[in-house]
Amino acid sequence: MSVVPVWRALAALGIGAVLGGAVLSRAGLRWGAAETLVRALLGLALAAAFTVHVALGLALTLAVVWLTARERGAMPETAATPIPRLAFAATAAVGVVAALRPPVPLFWDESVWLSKARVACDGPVELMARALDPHSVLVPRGYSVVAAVLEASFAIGDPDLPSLVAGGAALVIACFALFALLLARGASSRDERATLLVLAATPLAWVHVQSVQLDLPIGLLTASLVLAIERAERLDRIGLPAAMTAALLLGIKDEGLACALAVLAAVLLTSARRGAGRRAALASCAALALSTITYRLELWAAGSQNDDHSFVDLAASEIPGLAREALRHAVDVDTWGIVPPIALAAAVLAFRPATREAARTAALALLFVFAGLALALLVGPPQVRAFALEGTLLNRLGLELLPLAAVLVPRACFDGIAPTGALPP
Amino acid sequence: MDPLVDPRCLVTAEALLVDGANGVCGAPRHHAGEAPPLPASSLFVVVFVVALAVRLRRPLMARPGALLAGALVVGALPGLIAVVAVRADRPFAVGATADRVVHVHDEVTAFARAHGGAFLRTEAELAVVPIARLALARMPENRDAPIDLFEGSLDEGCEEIDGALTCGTPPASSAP
Repeated sequence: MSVVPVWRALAALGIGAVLGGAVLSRAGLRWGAAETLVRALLGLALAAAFTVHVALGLALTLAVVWLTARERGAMPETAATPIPRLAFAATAAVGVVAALRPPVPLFWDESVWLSKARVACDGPVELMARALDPHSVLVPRGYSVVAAVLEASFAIGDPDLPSLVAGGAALVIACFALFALLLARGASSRDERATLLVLAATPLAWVHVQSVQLDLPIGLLTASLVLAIERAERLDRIGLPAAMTAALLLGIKDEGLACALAVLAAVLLTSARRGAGRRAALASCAALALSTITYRLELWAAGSQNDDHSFVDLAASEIPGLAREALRHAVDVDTWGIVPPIALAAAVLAFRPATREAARTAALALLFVFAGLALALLVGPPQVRAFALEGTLLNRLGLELLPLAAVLVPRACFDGIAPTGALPP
Repeated sequence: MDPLVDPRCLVTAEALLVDGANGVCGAPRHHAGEAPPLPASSLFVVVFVVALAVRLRRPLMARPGALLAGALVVGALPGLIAVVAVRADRPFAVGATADRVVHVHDEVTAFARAHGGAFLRTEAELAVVPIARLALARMPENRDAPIDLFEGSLDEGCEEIDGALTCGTPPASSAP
């Protein structure tokens, strides 16, 4: 049986760790699992920023160096954390499942993403030239190049199919690992188990673990951003670098910025008085916004636009049809199990007076991301709504909400209930 | 009685390529206003929501985590069965599906290399279009080396005829 050679990504992760380690040398981070992964992914994310524009890469690198060094003074040295056994086990399981498939694209969008990664194997200049070309078809014009850079890096620049699929699979695994390690850092073991169970009980998530599409990674990175900001709030030195990493990686798709802004709004509404968390949220979203705006300006200067992600008009008459399709997708038990109703119940419960603030933050972030995606559908071009009405889009957008929902469920449903299952006093 | 999982759930390579990531058993492909009523499975969801709401209003049960975990696992079973035992990418069938995809990819690649590039002239087989584009991603465009993708490309493979690569079977009206 053929497998995906995901181990090839270790070289890029090592180089990323060196680059990220240099950038974060004044951040006072330990060398634990989460810190090492953050270094590696931050290094690669900054390398992708240099691909978009050298000035962007320089600006972001200097910003990370300055901000993390400044925050170090405000935070005590982080104590050694226990080995995150469950996070390791979950990441290993995801890695094995992701690798146990033929190194061949099996879904439509996999081939689209891998086409861009294959072009990226020719180098950043060729990739940007193709991305900005108004007549480009093979690399859809206007779409972000960040994922292509990361996948080509993980593939060590080898354009053969096995390496490209390995690069895509490695990106999925890396995003999951970041999510799992940040979750382990802040959640009780009961909440951690429940969150991972919600993900595991979503059949479509397993399909996407075995794909190189970017919908699940966007969801994992959005949830990672929330978790990282919470670490910063609790004066954990990994918080700011992890938030910057998650935010920059959200640039792999256009909706990443909408997801980051939704998280920022939720944080500002629920924890405005806690300086470190607010600073981490603002800095990370500003970094992603700068990256997105720079790329958009380059597209504009080249006369190239993304027709699928432009804002056209409010299609109010489509709301009933889209709502009906969304409901139909949500009750598709084959695809979602019974996660959507549980998540909906959790979102409502999160606003009970007795519920933790963290549950409200996650619930608000989930609702804002949902609202942002819904708004994008309603004001976007007609072809995007056609995709949604034909059933090829809404489930994938649901995956962008799933990890946040998985974080929310135990926070909202178990609040006030002792971890042993005993009744609250 | 309906089976737990639709036995037609993305069992062909073509269906998997087009819809495999859009849902465990594919996309509904209904346009708004033309869709049938909600599936019977939604009744299960409604019952669960009511049970959960009752449970959360009356915190008398000693093990809410167990209730949640049990419900999640039971709810996931139909989809997980489809993933591991029905779809064309199930573990014991994915190799054959992948071989057919690679075959088309490699034939397009070889044709384009032999002609110093190529271009897609006909895109009649939706499922293989992105595979052909992936194969051509680093190739220059050559308008003298057309590629035609017809229905049956995955099953029948490709053949070079008069300087053009023909994949699948051309419709009767365009056959020579």
